[in-house]
Amino acid sequence: MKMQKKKVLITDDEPNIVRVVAARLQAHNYEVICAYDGEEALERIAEAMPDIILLDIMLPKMDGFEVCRRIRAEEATKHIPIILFSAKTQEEDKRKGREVEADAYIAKPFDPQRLIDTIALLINAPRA
Amino acid sequence: MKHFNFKLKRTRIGTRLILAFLIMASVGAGIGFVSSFELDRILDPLTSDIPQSLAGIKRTYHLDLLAQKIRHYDQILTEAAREFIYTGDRQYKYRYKEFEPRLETVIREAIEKGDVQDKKIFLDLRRSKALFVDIEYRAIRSVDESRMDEAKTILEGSDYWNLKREYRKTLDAYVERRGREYGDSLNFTSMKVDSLVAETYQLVQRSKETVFKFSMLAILVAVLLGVFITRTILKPIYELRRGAEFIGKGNLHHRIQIHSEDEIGNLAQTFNEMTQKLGEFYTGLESKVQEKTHELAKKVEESQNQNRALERTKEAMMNILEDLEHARLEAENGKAKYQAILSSIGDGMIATDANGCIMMVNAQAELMLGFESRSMVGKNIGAAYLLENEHQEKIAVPDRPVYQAIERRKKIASTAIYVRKDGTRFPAAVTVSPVVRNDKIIGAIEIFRDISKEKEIDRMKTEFISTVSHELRTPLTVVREGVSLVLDKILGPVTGGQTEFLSISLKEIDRLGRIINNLLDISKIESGKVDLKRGFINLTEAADDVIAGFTALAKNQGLELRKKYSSDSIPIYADKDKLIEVFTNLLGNALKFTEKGAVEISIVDEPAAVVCSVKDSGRGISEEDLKRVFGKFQQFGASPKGREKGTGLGLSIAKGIVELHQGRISVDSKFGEGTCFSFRLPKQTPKEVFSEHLTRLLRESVNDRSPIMLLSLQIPGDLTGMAEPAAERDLFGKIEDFIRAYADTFQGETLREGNAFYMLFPGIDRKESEALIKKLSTDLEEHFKPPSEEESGTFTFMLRDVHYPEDGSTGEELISSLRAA
Repeated sequence: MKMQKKKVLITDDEPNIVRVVAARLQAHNYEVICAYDGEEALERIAEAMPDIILLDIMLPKMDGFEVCRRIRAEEATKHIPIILFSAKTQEEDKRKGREVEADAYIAKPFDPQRLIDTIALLINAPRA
Repeated sequence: MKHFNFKLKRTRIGTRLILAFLIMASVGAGIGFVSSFELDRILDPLTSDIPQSLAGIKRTYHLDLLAQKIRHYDQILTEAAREFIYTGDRQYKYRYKEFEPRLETVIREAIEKGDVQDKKIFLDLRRSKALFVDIEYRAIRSVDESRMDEAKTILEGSDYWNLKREYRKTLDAYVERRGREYGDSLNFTSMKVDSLVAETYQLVQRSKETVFKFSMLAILVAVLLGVFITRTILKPIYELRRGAEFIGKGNLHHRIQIHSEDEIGNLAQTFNEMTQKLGEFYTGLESKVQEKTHELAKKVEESQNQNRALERTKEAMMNILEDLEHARLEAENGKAKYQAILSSIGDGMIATDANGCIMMVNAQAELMLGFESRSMVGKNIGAAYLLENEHQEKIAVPDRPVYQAIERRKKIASTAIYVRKDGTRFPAAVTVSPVVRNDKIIGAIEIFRDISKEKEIDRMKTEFISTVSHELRTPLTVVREGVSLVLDKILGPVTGGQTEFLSISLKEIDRLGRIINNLLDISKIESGKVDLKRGFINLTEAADDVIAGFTALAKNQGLELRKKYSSDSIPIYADKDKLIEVFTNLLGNALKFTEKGAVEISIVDEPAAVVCSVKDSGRGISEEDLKRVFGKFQQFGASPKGREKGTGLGLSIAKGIVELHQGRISVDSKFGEGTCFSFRLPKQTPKEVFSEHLTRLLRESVNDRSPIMLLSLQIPGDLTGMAEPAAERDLFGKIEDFIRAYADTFQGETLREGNAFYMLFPGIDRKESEALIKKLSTDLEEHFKPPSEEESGTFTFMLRDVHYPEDGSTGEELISSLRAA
């Protein structure tokens, strides 16, 4: 039986970042869904139910923290692992990330291997 | 027609205009078509008939010219022959011989050019010419043989003259025939031209008529269209304008009579509706105006009554004031001196009496608040102007700093939002001091300073750091991942040469990333935005960690790596990660610029400080470079091959970190002999660091308005019920770790004093603190509850909290109220 591809939602307002990350993930055999602002991310999550979410913090319309909070508040989506993905490395943001129950924080520019490892780890060991 | 009109009413104006233009255009095209057809008819005769007849005339003329030549040459020959015979002059013989061939040529040409009839005539002519030329030659020969008489007989003979006559007759016959033909040809041509002119004239006349008719038709169509457009488009617009004029003059009952169903019809309808509403509104307004006028009249009457009463009161006041004036003048001299001082103060200042009633306002306060001094003096300060807290809520009068200072009999320092007369706001740092005389409060002085600029600069600084990091890292992320994707062969095969250069690019991209990070670190350090995470650390351990990381590199370079510690354990209260960064920068530099010899790390424990140094036997730094060594982007000499390029920021970061620890860093170097960097960290006790931190936070909070919470956790040592002191020590250690981790989450600072822990939480006000304290106490109970009944005794603790600015405005005040609580 063929294994179903795992779905990753990439959310970033910078289309070029979405593009390069998508290329990497597709090469690692993930199905990629893209969103370019916070509201779009929530729409994509509702319709496609990704297995993991990669979430930029500074997003138009609704920031990553708020998106994260809403995913956790929703019964249907609260189990989905979330990786915050931001060019800001300030401690304050990491703390806020923990507060809204994100599972990991990866700083940009990122190490591709670390991204792939984190995704694999979180997908295989989902939240309780 | 009527039916047609009805239909048009429903057509849109645009369609109507397009239809009109289409009709005009087709009439124009018709005129053009008819004109070109007429012109074609005029051109026909000009191109075929006339050239034909002209060709006939031309040929006739040419043959006629030949006939004339033939006659002329013949005369010459006849004369020449006779002259020779009668005079014997040879010249005539030669003349004859010259012209005889010419005559022959001309006749032959005429034969060629002529038509059938002409040919026959000229052939006859040639035959008779041959005969008489033969006779003439005979005569000439006779003269040559000196038989003059014979020659004369020949030329006078009837044969000869008959020939001549016949010859000339033939020629005349030709001329006559040709002349007739010439005339005919000419006649025909002129006839043709005449008829042509007549015909053309007629045609032009007819064309003129046709074009004229069409033009008249066009004008008629244009007029009709004009009338039509005016009737259906302009007239309604005119109607609308007239209606608007009517309404403008106040006739609100006028209605426009346009019932077409096009846009103008709609407009008219809307217009009528608007007029109706306007009328209704106007009627309402009128009745309201009447109502108000009535009310106003009533009020005027009332106030006149009041004025009379006031007038009487004023008179009484004037009498009192006159008495007071005398006393005031005496006080004036002394007061003026203070007024001058007070008005020159750059901060706003308001003085009140013990009840909070304003006595004096300086010029700066007037300027800042927008109220005039005389409108404030005498009023209660709570009524004179509004104060708000950071959530834009009004601060109640008893909570205002002036009343707090009077009530608590001490100086209050706080921040508040001041509301100006025009409703605008500004944040201010405010200090209120009570004025005490003979142990009795007689008033208070409020001094306030606009801090919006300071807040704005602070905000901009933070925002700049955050924006720069985001804006630089985002494109860098795309570039780095793009290069990585190619290098990882995800996008297809890559050649060896490409791999080489892509790897170089990736290294440089990472270097750029490090530069950005370092720059941000420096700007954070310089703007005081770094919080050290201090703890008791063993400095030799931190140094050993760094040395371990460099051992392999030193070995590869053939360098000896030595360490010299004054003792194995040198404790210091500092941020371990940050000091590791300092050692890493210094050791990395030393190894990079040393080719042979040794690099030595030493740590010396002194009574008041710890002195660390990193010494190498490298190329050294020249004296002039030494001054700039801690500057940003200072790089001296090329990096050795194969080594990661530096960012030029490592030493300035090291300097920043050492100074955050209240330490000093210095460098000593001899060019060619080696370099020694050393830094000195003062031994600060946790208490010193804690109170320093508290003082700094309080200083910042004055400008920042942010609240601070100070929390204490007391664990009565003997109440843990633990028999073993070691076990108890262990428990305290665990609690300390827990507390530290907890405080770190909130950028808090922790201090342990025996059985007591103190925690400092910036930015948390009393409201937020409740949930936080509750969670902390549940977590503590859960974590440190004795695991079983056997380890009897209970784990008890006490949590207390005090808050800035409510419970005190200085460090000592806060701590003492925490102890007292």
